[in-house]
Amino acid sequence: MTTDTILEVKDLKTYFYTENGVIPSVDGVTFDIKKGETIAIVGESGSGKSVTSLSIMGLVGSPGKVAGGEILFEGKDITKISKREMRKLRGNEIAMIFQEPLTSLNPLFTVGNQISESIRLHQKASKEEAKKIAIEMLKKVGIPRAEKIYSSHPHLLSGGMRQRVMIAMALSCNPKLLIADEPTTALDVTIQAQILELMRNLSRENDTSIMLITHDLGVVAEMVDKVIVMYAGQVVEHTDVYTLFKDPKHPYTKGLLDSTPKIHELKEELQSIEGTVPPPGSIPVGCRFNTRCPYATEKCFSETPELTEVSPNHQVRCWLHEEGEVAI
Amino acid sequence: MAANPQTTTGTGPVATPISKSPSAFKRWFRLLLKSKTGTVGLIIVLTVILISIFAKQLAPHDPNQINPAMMLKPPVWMDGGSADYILGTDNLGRDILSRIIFGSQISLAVGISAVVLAGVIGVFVGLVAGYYGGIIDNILMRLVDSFLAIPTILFALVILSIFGPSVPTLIVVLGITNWVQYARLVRGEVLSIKEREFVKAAKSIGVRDNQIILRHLLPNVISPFIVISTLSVATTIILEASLSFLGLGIQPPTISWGGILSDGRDYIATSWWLATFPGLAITITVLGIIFLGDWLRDVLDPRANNGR
Amino acid sequence: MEQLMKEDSKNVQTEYLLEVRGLKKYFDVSEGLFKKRKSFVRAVDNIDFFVKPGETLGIVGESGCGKSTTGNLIMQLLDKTEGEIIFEGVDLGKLSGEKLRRKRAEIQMIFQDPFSSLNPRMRVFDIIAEPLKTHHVAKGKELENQVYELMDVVGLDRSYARRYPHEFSGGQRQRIGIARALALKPKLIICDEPVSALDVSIQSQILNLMAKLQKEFNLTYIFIAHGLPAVKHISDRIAVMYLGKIVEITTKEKLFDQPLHPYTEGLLSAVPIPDPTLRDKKNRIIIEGDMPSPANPPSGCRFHPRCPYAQERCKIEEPKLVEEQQDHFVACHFPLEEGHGILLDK
Repeated sequence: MTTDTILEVKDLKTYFYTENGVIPSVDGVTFDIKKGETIAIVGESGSGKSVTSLSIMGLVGSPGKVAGGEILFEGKDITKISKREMRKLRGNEIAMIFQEPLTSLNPLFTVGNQISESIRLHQKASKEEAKKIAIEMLKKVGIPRAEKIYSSHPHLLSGGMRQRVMIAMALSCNPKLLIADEPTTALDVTIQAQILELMRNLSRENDTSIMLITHDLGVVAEMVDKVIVMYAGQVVEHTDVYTLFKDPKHPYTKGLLDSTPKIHELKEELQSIEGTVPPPGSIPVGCRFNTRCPYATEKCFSETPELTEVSPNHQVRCWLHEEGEVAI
Repeated sequence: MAANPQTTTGTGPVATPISKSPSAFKRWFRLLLKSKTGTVGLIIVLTVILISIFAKQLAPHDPNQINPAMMLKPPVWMDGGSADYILGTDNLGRDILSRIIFGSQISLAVGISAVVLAGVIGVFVGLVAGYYGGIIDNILMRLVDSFLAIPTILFALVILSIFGPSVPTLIVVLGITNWVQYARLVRGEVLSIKEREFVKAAKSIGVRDNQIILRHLLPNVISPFIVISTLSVATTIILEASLSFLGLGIQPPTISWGGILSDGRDYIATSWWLATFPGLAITITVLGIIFLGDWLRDVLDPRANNGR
Repeated sequence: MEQLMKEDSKNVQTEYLLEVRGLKKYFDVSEGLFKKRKSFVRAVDNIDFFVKPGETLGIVGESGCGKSTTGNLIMQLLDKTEGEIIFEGVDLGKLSGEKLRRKRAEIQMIFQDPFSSLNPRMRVFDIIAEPLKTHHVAKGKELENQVYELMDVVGLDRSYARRYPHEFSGGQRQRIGIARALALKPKLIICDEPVSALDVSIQSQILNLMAKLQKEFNLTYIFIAHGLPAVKHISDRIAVMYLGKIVEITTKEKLFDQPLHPYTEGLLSAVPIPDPTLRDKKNRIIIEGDMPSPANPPSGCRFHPRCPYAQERCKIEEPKLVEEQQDHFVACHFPLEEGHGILLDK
C-alpha cells in the first residue's frame, strides 16, 4: 500500500441476516481511494452502493453486518476497532452527507447549535471558538447571512441551504474522507449545480478525498476521477472516468450510459435496459446481470465471472472479455 | 457468443414480479403459523366464543341454583374442595365454574356489540370529517372534543342511573363513550391517505366522492381500526366489569364476569376464589383478544405477505 | 401575446386541443384566528399557453414554480382562482355535474410516485378496471378483455392481474398507472414527473413506452418535469416556469439551441453532461441563490435577484411574455443574444 492511499476496501461483504435467509447486499467489493481523489460508486437502487458507504462508516444496522473483508483507513482495519474508536473516527477523519438533509438534522436545535456541538465534540474548542469556526464554515459553504442562519432551525431553510449546512458540518472537522450519498438527488438542478461546484472547490482547496455515491452519470462525468459501477452487490466495472465513458466494457455500464439523457445532443436515441434489478433475495446463478443482458450466452447462466483486468487499471466482470478485448 | 443484441425499446413484457400472491386463505394460515401470539390469541378467543355458545351443554350446574349446603366451597384441589365444584362455590352455594361459563355470553356480547356500534359511528364520522375537511370537519371534531371532555365512567353512571341498567342500555352507553377515539383515529389516517396520489388518481378518473371514501379510503384505514377495536373490545369488557362491580351493570339474574367479580368482593379475604376466577377469565380473554388484534393487523395488510 | 390570442380565438376548435388563458391559482395562507392580514401564495400567476393535438408540451421548472399546480388545475383537481381552461373549444370552468365528468374523462393523468399512486389494497386488475367501471364503459367478460388488452399495451404480463401493487418494481407500477390512464381512451394525458422516481435504465423504458403509445393512440401529452433532460426526449415544445410564471416557451430545438431567457440558460447549464471530456470546456453558468418564496415574490421580473444580467428596469417593471421570434415566446426585458445554447450536434 502506498502512503497516499487513504482508504482501501478489500473484498468487503456486508450481509443482512433476515428471516428469509441471508441477503448479500455487498458481496466482495474491492477498491481504494487516494488522497485528494474523488471517486464515484455508481449503481441503481439495490446495487449495494449505499450499503457499501454505510459499511465504511460503521453504520450498518441490524440485521445487517460486515461479514467479511477489510476496510483499511490509513492502513488500519476499521471493521475491527471498538465502537468508541469508530465514533472518534467518524466526524473527525471520515464525514458523511446524505440525500435528505432534513432528516439528518435535529429539528429541535438550531443549525449553529448542531455544527458547534460537532466541532466541540471533535476539536476540544471552547463554546465561543466553536461558534466562530461554525460561522466561518457556514460562510465557506456559501451561506449568505451566516450569523442569522446560525441561529435558525433547520425547517426554516431551503433544501439547498440544508445541504450546505450538512456539508459545513461534515467539513468542520477537516475530514480526510467525505462520503456523499446522493447529495444532490433531492435538490433542484440549479441548486445541484451550486452544491457540486462547492464540493469541487472544497476538495481542491483542502485535498479532501470524496467518495460520491450516485446514480447520475452526468454528475459522475463532471465530478470524479475514478468510477466503480456496482450491480446487485458486486463491482462490475472499475476504471478511470475517461475510459469508462469512452470505452465501457460491461454491458450494464453500456446500458446505463445509453439510457442517460444527453442534454447537449439534439438527436439522441434513448436506449433502455430491459427488466429490473433482481431483488436481493433472488440473485440469478452465474452472472448477476444475465437476466437483462443482451449479450448473455449459456456460460453466463451457469458460471460466475470474476472481476478481471482487461487493460491497465480497467477491470470488468464479464465473460465477453475473457479472451481479450471485445467491442460492445 | 450472441453478437446480435436486440435493440432495447422497453415495450415487451417485463420481468416477473418480486413475489407471488397466494390465495387469501393460505396466506392467512401461513401468517397464523408464523405468529405464535396470534395462534394463542385465536385459540383463546375461539375457545371463549365456543364456551359461550355451548354454555348450556358445558356448564356442570345451573349457574343460578342456590345450594345452602355447599356455601363457599373451595376449589377442588384444596382441603374441603369437591370434585363436583371444580372452581368452588360462592356465598350462596352457586357453582363458580358454571357462572363463569354463562357469564362469558354477556361479557362477549356486550363487549363486541358496544365496539361495533362505536366503530360504525366513529369510522363514519372520521371518514367524512377527514375527507371533506373544512367546516364539516370543524363541527364534527368539536363534537368529538366535547365527548372527550366527559369522563367515561361518570357519563355511564349517569345514563345508567337515569335509564336503569339493562343490557341494551349498557351497549349503547359503552358504544357512545367509545366512538370518539375511532373518529379521531380514522380522521387522522384519512388526512394522510387522502394526500396520497392514488386518491388524486381516483378523482381524475372521475370516481365519485362516496366511492372514493368506500373503495379507497375505508380499506386503507381498516387495519389500524381493527387493531384499536380489538383492544377496545378488551377495555369494554373491563369497563362492563367495573360498572357491574359498581352495581350499575348487568343485573341479576343475568350473569356477567363483572357481576361475579362484584359478588365476590366481600369475600376476597376469606374466600379468594370468588373474585379470582372471574378476574382470571377476564384477563385471559382480554389478552387473547389483544394477541388476535396484532395478528389481524398483519393479515389485513396485503404487503405483509411473506413476512418481508 | 394578447394579440395572438385574439387572432387564434377564431379557430380555436381546429387548431388547439387545449388552451389556457390568464390562469391563476392563489392559495390563501392567511395566519391567525381572525385573519387580519390576507396573504396568498401565488402558485400560478397569470399564465397562457396552448397545446396542439398530437404534440407533447413539456413544462419545466424547479420546485415551487407552479408546474404541478398547473397540471392539477387542468385536471380540475384544484379550483382555479381566475382564468380559462379551454379543452376542445369548451371552457371547462363553465361545465358542471355530469357534463364535466364526461369531458374530464378525456383528460387523464400519470403520476410521479408509482408507490403512492396505486391503492395498495387493490389488485392490478381492479386498478385498471376502475375507470372503466366508473364510467360504465364495460362490464363482465368485456371488462375483463379490455383490462387485459390494456395490460398487453403497456407490456404487463396478463398473469399479473391478480397481484397487488407492492409486488412490483417501480417501473412496472408506472406501467400499471399508464394502463389506468389509457383505459378511458383520453385525448390529453398530463404526465406529472412520471419518471423522476425511477432508476435511469427504467426511465428510458417508460419514456420509450410513452412515445410508442402516443403514436399508437394519437395522444397529446403535457409532460411536467423538474429538469430539462427528462422532457427533452419526448417534448415537441417546452415551457419554462419560474415562480408561477411562464418565462419562455418555444420548440425544443430553439430552446436548447438558443435560449432567450437567462433562467433557461441557467437551467441548461446546470444539467451535468455525461461526458467527462466536456468537463472543462463547458461554459458553466451557475445561478446563485435560492428561489424566493412565492408568497412574497420579488418586484418587477421575478428572476431579477438571481439573474446575472439584471438591470434597473428588471427590478421595477414586470416583463410580459412576448413572441420575440417566431414561435418563440419569452418574458424578459433583455433577451439573450445567440450563442447561449448547449447543443453540440446541430
